[in-house]
Order: sequence, then C-alpha cells, then structure tokens
Amino acid sequence: MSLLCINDLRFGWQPQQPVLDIAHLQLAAGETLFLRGPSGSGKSTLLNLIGGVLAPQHGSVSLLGQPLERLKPAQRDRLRADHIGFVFQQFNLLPYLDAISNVMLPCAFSRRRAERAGDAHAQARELLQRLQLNERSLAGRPAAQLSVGQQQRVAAARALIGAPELLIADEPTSALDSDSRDGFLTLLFDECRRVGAALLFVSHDRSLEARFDRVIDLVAINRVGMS
Amino acid sequence: MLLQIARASLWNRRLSVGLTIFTVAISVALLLSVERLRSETRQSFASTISGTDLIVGARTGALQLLLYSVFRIGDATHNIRYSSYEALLEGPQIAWAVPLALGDSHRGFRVLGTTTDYFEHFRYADKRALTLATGARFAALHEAVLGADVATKLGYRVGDPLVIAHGTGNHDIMVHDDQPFRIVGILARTGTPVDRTIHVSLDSLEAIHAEWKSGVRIPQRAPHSHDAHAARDEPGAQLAKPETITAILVGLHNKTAALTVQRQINNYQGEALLAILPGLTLIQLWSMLGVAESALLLVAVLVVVAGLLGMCTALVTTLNERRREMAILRALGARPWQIGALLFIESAAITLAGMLVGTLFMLLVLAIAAPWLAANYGLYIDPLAFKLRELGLLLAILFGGVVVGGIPAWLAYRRSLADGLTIRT
Repeated sequence: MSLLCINDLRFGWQPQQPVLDIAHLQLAAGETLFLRGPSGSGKSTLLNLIGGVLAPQHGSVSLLGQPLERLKPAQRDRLRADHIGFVFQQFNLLPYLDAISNVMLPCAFSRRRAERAGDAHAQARELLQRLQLNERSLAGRPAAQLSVGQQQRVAAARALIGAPELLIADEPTSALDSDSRDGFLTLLFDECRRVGAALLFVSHDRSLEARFDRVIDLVAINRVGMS
Repeated sequence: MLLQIARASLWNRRLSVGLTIFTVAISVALLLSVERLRSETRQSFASTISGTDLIVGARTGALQLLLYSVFRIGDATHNIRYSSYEALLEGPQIAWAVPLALGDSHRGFRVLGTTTDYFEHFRYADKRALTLATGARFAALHEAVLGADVATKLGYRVGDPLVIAHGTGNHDIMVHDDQPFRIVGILARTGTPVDRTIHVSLDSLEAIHAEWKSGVRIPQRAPHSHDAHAARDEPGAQLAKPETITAILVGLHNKTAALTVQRQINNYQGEALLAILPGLTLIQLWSMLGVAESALLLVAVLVVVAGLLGMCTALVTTLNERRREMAILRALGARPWQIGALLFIESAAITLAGMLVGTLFMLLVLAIAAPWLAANYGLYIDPLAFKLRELGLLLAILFGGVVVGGIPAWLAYRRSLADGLTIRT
C-alpha cells in the first residue's frame, strides 16, 4: 500500500478555473520524492491538499489509505498532526519559543506523536544532537536568535519528532549557502531513513535531484498547465 | 500547550502588551475608585445620623437644614429662638430635644454649642452612641470636647488650651482669646462630621458672645476681668439663657407620630420653623446627587470600554504579523479554533492582568488619598473593604474583555482557515 496516493485530483479557487488537475501521483513509504515546479504552478495548493487543509473538489487524495475528501476538517487536522511533519523555506519556528519548545510542539497537537516520542523532551534533545545542534548552547535562546542554518535544523527536528510517516519539505534549502545546504540535506536524509519517513521535497534547485529516489515536475503532471 | 505558547507570545511582545495592560489597568482603577468613593460617600452620609426622628431649624430648604445641622456644610441663614426650643420640649410626643448652636470655629473646625444631652441622645451609623476615647464630657464653662480628627490633626490632648474664633472658615481672624477653653475630653472616632467638631456647652458659647453683637466685640459691655471669667467658670454658675440657637435634634416617644409632630412644628405660630425627617431628606439628597453620580460612573465605564477596545486594536493589528505563526501552528496540526483560542487566551490574560494591576493601583491611590479625604471631607475609606458590587464590576470587565477579545480570536480563526499552510510575509 502506498503512503500517499492522488487520483484524478482537481482543485480551483474559482469555479471552472482549476489550478491543479493531476491524474495520478503516488508516494511509497520511506521513498524520497523531489517535486519541482516554478512559482505559481500550484505547489502550495498541492501541499495544502496533501496536508488536509484543503479538500479536493474532485478526485481523491489518500494518506495511509484514508481518503482525505471523506474526512471532516477536524479529522484531516488530526491526520496531518499524527502523520505529517513540515519543514518550510524559512521562518519555520515560533520566534519566541526556544529550540526545545519548538521541537516539542507537534506532540502538543498529536497524542500519537507524543506517545511515539515517549519522553518528548529527551527525544527533542536527541534529535537536535543528531542534527548536530548543541542543545545546551541553544537552551533558553528564543528561535529568533538562531542562525538560519540552525533554525532549519531545529525545524527538521520538529518535523521528525514522534516519527511521522511523511515529511514534507517546502523549499527548505533556498535560504542556505551550498555548504550548509548539503550538510542539512545529508542530515535530513539520514534522519528520514532512520525513522522510516517518506520525504516529499519541493524545490527549484535541480542540482539536488540526484539525491532523490524519484523526481517529478509538477508542470508535467498538472494537466492545467498543459492546456 | 496553548497556555505556554500564549505566555511566550505575550512575553515576546512585552512592551506593547505592557502598555495595553497599563491602559486597561488605568481604566479599571478609575472605575473602581469612582465606585468606591460613590459607595463610601453614600454609606458615610447615611451613617452620619441615626435615631433622630426630626431636625428642626429656621424655615429654609430641607436639604440646607440637613447639611448645616448634621454635615456642618454651609451656614444657617437664620437662627431660631431658644424659646422655641423650650416650647418644643413641652410637647407630649417629645422624648428628648438637643439644641445645636453653630457659627464659631477653631482653625477650620466647627464649634458646636450644645448640652450634655447631645452625648446621651446623638446616634450615628447603626444607632451607635458617642463614646469618649479619653477624658470626660464638658461640665463647666470653657470646657471643650474634641472630635477625633480635630485632636489628631491639631495634635491636641486633654488639658490643652483652645481659643475659639468668631465665625467659620480656615483662618481665625476675630478670636475669643480673652476666654480660652480647656480640652477636657476627646471622642472616639465615628467616621462622621462629629470627628471634625469641637463640642462646647451652650452656656460657654453664650459666655464668650456676651460681649459681642452682630459679630463685633462691644467694649463697653465688657466687664473684662479674670475674676469675672473665673467666677463664671465655676460649675453651676448661672448665665443668661441664649437668645438663639441654630437647630434642634428631636427624638419622639413614638416614631409613628413623626409626621404629625413635623406638621405641628411646621405650623408653629411662635416663629417660622422647619422640621425635617433626616432619613427622608437624605434620600432627597441622594436623588439630587444621583445624576452626577451616574454621570461619573458612566464616564468611568466608557473609559473601561475604551481601554478594552484599545486592547482589541492592539491584538488585531498584530494579526497580520502573526499569520506566519498561525500557519506554522496549522501545519503542526492545530485546529482553527485552537488558533482562535490562542488569541482568546491572550486577550483574557491581558484583561486579567489589567484588572489585577488596576485593582492594586486603586488600592494604592485610595491608601494615599484616604487620610486626606478623612481630614478634608470626613470621608473614611477602607481601601481593603471590597464590596460585592465592585466584584460584580470586575466580573463585568472580565466579561467585556472576553467579548472584545473574541474579535481578534474570530479574525485569527477565519484567517487561519483561509491561509492554511501557506506562510505569508
């Protein structure tokens, strides 16, 4: 069974003006997928649909076999909290919380991830250590005082706490220099592999494609762009 | 967790949040202070006199008679004849009658000429009698019994001399320095104008005014010699009866006869008299003051509304800056209502903090102002004596804060639904 399965998906903000029309997209458990697409190609809308914030107007988006279009908004929020971790481009963190509190946030909204994490504080510290962040040097410092590279690694730790099945990274390396980017990606891949999470990575940077199991061009699969 | 996030978020914006709390606190302090002053003034006025069935004075306005005879506010336009008092005493319904003579003062405090019956029959608050804190009642001429505030403010003790000035006011210009008084007693505090009064016997007042006419000393009438004064100071010394007095406090055998006796006094043929029922006149006084009282309270309530709207504005203006924060929380699984609840918690916290600081501020202001209010207006305020109505006002403010805080909460809820996971700048 695939982790994520999209079939005949159509969505538009205005009636008769779809922004997404995808026949089929699938992501297997533990797979790493590079999704590229220019600005305005509907990437954010697709992520909102996969995350269950938006409901498909036509077709189906299934996560772990559960068709999101049949779930109520609250159930979709629960599914997202339990099974998906997010890393954004920048400004990922609540600026007024420290690193540990930011990492532990998902456990506040998902009992499942809290249970999986066990001692959430200990797991947060462990994740930060694995991502080469010294928790002691970060202690008590609000996230706003961390460097961009540190913030991204804290965001990755937050996305991975409680071992979600899917990690969605929306252009997480665009604000990093090449050395930091490579280091960050290596750590991210290692951790995804360790916890068994699939990685859906959205980016413009084609130089990263070689690292992934599969590469998909959103423009190529979005039938709206083809017409 | 929401509480922890709200706390950290508020602390992160501590300057603007602090100013908002201060705004709410000032408005809360103003409202509570106005309410406390209003209720304390009302209570203080209501407890000034009790157990007196009628007050009799020259024919004037009922309120004016009440104000000058009981509250020592203003002056009588006319006095009444002492013979009227004697005639009143003959009435079958009259249980007791105490003459009051006002018109002199000492360093801003009124001097009341009366008889020792005053100490027997005058009641205040819940029919509490006057008691002496130290010393004794006046028994001879030129003896004075001080109210508690007079003694405290002027630092007088039993045995000290005291010179009465002719007329009222803060400056003693024409003084009866030829006939000094001696303090023989100090009354326990009552929380009424009695505390700011110097009590002497009617005979003493008559004695010091024997050489005066129309407010001026008449030298030719003055058999000025210390021997003469000394002779008059002897207990039991005989003096001419006073010609006039200012008012009379009256107690009846049967209180249900008050209206009948009032009518009889008002129809008295000897001179134009006015009898009032103190309780009824107090109600009239409050109905007059009620408009100003309500206006003051309304202004205070509007200031609170302005304070809460200021809080609402402060929270709404931060919403745009916080859309990113909301999108992050949504991505983590927070439901829209939880985003709204976060804003709700913040507004409730600001309101509660404003209420707490405002209440402390009110206590501080009242603690500082209490001695001044007591000394200058006879208004005794216990800052810590919270009233049920004040707690009701605080609850109403909290409710108002919750309602007003619902606006940014609702906006946050709507925006988090619309924004989803898209982090906007």
